[in-house]
Amino acid sequence: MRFRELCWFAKKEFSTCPFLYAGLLLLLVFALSAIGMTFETFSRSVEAFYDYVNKIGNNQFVCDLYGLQLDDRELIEDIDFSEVYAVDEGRVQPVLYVGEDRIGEEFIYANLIYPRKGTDIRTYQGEGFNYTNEDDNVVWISDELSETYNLSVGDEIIQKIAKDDSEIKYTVIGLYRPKESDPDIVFALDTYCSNMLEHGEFVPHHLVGTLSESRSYIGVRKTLRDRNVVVRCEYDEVFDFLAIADIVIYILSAVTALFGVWMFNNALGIMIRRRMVYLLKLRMIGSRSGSILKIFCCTTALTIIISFVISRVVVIAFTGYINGLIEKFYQIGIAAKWSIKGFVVTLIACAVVYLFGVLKLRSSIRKANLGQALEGSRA
Amino acid sequence: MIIIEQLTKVYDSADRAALDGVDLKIRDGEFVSIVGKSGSGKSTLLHLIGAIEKPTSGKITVDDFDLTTASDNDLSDYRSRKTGFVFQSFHLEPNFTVYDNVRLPLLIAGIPYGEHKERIEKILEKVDLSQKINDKASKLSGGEKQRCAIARALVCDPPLILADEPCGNLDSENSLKIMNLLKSINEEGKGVILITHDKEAARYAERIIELKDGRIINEIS
Repeated sequence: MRFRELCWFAKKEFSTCPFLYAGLLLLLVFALSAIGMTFETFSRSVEAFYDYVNKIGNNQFVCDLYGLQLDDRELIEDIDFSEVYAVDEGRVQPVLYVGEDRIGEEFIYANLIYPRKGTDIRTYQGEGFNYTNEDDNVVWISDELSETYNLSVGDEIIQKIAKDDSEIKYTVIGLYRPKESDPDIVFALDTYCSNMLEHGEFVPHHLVGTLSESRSYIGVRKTLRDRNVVVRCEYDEVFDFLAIADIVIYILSAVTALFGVWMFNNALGIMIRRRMVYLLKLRMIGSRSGSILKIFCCTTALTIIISFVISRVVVIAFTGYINGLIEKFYQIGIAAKWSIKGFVVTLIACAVVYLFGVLKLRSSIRKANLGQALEGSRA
Repeated sequence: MIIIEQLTKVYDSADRAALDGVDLKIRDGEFVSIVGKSGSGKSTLLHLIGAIEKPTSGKITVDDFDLTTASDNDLSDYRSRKTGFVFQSFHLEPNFTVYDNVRLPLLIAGIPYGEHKERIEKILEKVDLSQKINDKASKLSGGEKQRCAIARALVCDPPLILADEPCGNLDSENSLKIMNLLKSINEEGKGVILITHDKEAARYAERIIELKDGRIINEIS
């Protein structure tokens, strides 16, 4: 059967049973829209939350790394952290001396500060905080400590370790005027921790990493967990919930797709049964079963194509509305405006619907028995 | 030439053969009536000649084309090009116009579009249905429906017309019109095989074959 004849039969088919095809069309529009909305609107919820977190963190995403010693840092070297720094977890009270005089505890309060970027302590004598002297045994002291113990730049502060009766010497390289709540002694934490580990002392601490993209957090977390490094952030519970919700949505989408295919297939079966008399008439006047299959495949394909177009319009309108709503309150886009994924998944769903539809039509047309139909109509 | 040899048809649900070893020859252009009581096997014989059904055993050849061994597609082509069916219950598509109903075989046979209008108008004029060309089939009277069915059967110009009780649902006036139409078709050189209960209608044929219990019991030329 040629294309022109096929179009004629398809047109006649639509005009003869408009409500039947409208029903098929509506059913498919609902199913395809549901699939499209799932993939374009709801499945982007995790990404939308990443965007939200990135936005409120000024493109910085901070996570804690537990289970790492300072000298284990090679374990995270390949991770794209924009910054990693150590933080003490508890108050550390090193035993410090100036010569034979032990430094009073009032000066060692809040004693360990890592001189990292943004530390608001300015020296008025000696070197300031920088990263070049992280590995040296150096220390910065307040002017009050300097006056009390008569210390100046170049002098030494001695840390005594009881466990192995050893000493670690730190050189004063800078003096500063502390503000309220500022410590009187500032060590480079990494250096301090390394020294303690060398002498068999464990300093409880963890590292803090800063990612520039929150969306890489889950991947980093998984990678580091495989290396027995525990990674935590304040949004862990939300991420875990969204990840589960994401899977549930995908499953729901798959179920919707399967249900849609099943429903469409059943509806197609009803349609072909209702058209069986017409189909048999065509067979009687010489139409090949292949040609009849072509006619119904053509009408089915057209129904699917129209459903696809309508469902895309519905999905785009819906996602546009949702996006507008969310952007208004949170300034983030929750739905993809033109999602290739949603488009492709809907297209695949259409192909599956068509494939099963053709199989259904083929089996129904093959089952059609001309002789019995004639006897039936005579009866 | 239609040659039927030892043709037998047994339906799965039946306890006896609908046709039982029928032998028959029908010449090209011959008008044959097949008569018999209900259940005698006359419609089954017509369906087998028209390749609507397949026999259980035996052979049917139409102009050296073996219907019993042909593929489904070849049988469809045979129905499309070699035969035209006319049924008691018309089998028209009620939602289509007369024009579209008659056009169906042309579309199926792949006759060029340009020829459709002329052929349909000519054939509708012949069956006296030109005035109803744009009417829906469901709106026609019984006689008009049957004439439309005959037009549909003739439009592809097949050499053989198979008519199964064409007057079964018609009054005597319309029956007469239909039989005269079939006779005129036969006079133009087309073969006609008519299945009928009506002895008057059967007399239009050159040969009358009587069937009983699936066997030929009488032939009158």
